[in-house]
Amino acid sequence: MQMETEIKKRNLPVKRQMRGARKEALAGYLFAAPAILGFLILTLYPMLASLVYSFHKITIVKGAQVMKWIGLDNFKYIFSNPNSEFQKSMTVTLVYSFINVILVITFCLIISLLLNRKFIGRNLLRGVFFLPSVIPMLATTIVWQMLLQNQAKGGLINWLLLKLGTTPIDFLNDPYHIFGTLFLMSLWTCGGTIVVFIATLQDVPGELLEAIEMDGGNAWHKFQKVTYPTIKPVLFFQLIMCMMTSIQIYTQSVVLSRNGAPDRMTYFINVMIYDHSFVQTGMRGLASAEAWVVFVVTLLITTVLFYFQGALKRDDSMGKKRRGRR
Amino acid sequence: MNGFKKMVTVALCVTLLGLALAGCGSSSDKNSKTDKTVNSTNDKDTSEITLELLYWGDDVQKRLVEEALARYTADTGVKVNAQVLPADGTFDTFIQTRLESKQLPDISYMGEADIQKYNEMGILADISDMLDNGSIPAKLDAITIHSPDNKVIGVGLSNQLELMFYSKSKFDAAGIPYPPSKVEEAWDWPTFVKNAQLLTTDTKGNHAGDPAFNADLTENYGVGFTAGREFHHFWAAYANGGGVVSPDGKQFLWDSDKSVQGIQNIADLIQKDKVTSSFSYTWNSGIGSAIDALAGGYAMVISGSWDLANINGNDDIGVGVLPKMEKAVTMNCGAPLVVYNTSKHIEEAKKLYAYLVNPENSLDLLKSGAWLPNQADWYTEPTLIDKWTSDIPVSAKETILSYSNTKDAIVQWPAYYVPAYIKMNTKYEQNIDQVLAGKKSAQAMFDETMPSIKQLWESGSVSE
Repeated sequence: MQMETEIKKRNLPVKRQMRGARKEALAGYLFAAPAILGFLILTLYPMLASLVYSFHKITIVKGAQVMKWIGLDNFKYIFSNPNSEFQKSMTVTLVYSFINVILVITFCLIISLLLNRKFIGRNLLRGVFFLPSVIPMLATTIVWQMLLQNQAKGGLINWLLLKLGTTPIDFLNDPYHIFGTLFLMSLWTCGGTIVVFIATLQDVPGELLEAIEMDGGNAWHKFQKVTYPTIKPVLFFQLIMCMMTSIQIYTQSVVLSRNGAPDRMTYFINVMIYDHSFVQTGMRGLASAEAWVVFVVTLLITTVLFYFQGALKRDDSMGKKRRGRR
Repeated sequence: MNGFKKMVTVALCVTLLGLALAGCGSSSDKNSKTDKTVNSTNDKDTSEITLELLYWGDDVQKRLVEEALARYTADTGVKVNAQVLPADGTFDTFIQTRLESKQLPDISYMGEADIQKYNEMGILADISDMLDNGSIPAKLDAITIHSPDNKVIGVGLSNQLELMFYSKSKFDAAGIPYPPSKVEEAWDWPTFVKNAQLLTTDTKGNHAGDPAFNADLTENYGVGFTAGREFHHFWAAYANGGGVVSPDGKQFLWDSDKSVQGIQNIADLIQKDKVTSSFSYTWNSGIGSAIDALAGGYAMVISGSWDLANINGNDDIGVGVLPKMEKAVTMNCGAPLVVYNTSKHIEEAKKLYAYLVNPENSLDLLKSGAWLPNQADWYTEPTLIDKWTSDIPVSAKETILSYSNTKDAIVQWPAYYVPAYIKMNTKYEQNIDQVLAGKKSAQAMFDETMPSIKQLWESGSVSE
């Protein structure tokens, strides 16, 4: 009897601990519940629904949605029907995305390295680079459109070119110039990435940079041996994020052009999916299939990037190596 | 203390959950409440009925619609819950969302090109009875919309026309007479092009057509228009004796030689005659675009009559008829109003419909020039004409009356009556930019594209 009481006494704190841990977990789940519910209702359910849609032909008859099972027909249409717009749209989107990622990451890295140096007016310049990124893309695009319009419609840049005796540029009408315009807009609004890079650069160990300086190394050596290895993980993260947002380009195309003109160069994948799903009729199943193909393509690109992540992992051994050599 | 913290934690979580769920479901809750109220009441007691109207418009239009609805409620006792949306592509998306959630309004505006789509979905009410029994006086044929089985599914609130706006000062400076405001006096195509060339100048003041003219340094253009939008250049196909689809919907005219040449004439204005800017620069055709263009570097602008709303008090702007090729025609449009057959109060919705399509109840919009009357007698009866023309320029009044009273001078936009129009036009607009950019001739583009467009027309269906 005494033994039993002893055991009970000893077990009591464990039970209490377990009960406490359970309650803590419950509280945690309750706090996370809105986000989890949001994910389930607003992301997972639509995703699964669109997967189901992708195997159907969807029409509306007498106000009710009628779904007819057509198996893989939507996917076959995407890849083999000559009328399919998917391949051109996906190509344009991927070309834009790859060039845009390279441009944005390189530009942001260079600017953040410059803004990480100490000079008068540094904070003001940081603000200048960051400010455009807080303006909604729609407003930014409208302003750029007004700037790049034809001179007779009040386009400031072409008006200036004309006044300087130079031929105005068809910024919005030429298939290549429109891409240039989109890249320029993308660089204009990449302040968020610059801020992240600047924050990461604060992590770069100053004593190592000093050491290289003392060893006679130049700026490139500092970047190559210290800065780059430190910021690699963030660089990788930004690369993925930039790729995702580039593939999702939509607003710029809709505001600057119509139906992907000129020459379907701005008929990006999201524009096409929206068009098929909400403008056209009877193509929602096809739009869902297209969305899933885009999802798979994005997943593949991300996987490939993750595969190369090894090369982009933070190299924490550099200090140790240095110490080892000593 | 510990227990108190836990209680607070749980209370917070429950509140957050509640808020999240409430956020997700607020709209449907509201609607279901309204429905319950409506269902539980006697339909004949109109004071308990609330209709829902969806429409688009700017602040001015919103005010005018709200005033009209307030009068309607005072007259009939039927309340109207009116929701205004922006006048862009999001309106159709909104309707589709309401359709998906089975919360369609009783009555709404609708894009011209969308009406056949929704008719095919089987959600639009037949309003023929109101026209037959005279509760709606006969409307202009051009804005009376029929389904393929010949039911009337909507009438346009306004009879918008494509017109020629021009800057008088620019014409005066060039010594050119203003564009005529009578259909029978319309400029022929060579005259139009010649005048447009005289009004197009480079930075050194040379006119288009002069050997010394440098098109790369064009400062002012003779004409501007929204070339990339089919509505703004289809008139040329009809003017040249061709068309898109015959008014009875039975003949495909889009690929005829005359249509091709009409569209080629439009492309030539950009590439050959050099009298207008590259096409994409004039895409925006919203209210005010014509006025902005005329204030800038364009002497003439081809745009919709809705722009009349913005020229009140601007004496420099005149309005004339479009140039002719084989004949002088213009094209009309005008968003229809529709009644949904899903309405629980279809009779009341139809009465509101009749009220809203009556020009008397949109007089302010008519007087401003934003809308044009949708009834024939408003173009022929002097007392009715005076009601809406007092504030618009004389040249605009003459032009509109001339078009309206000249036989076959107004062509109905095929979007009104061709079921597969959206798909056909998407295909067309995806390719016409190459013609307007001078990369292909209209003939080459038509040869490549028209077989598949014709196939869509032959399907006779929106969704096939």
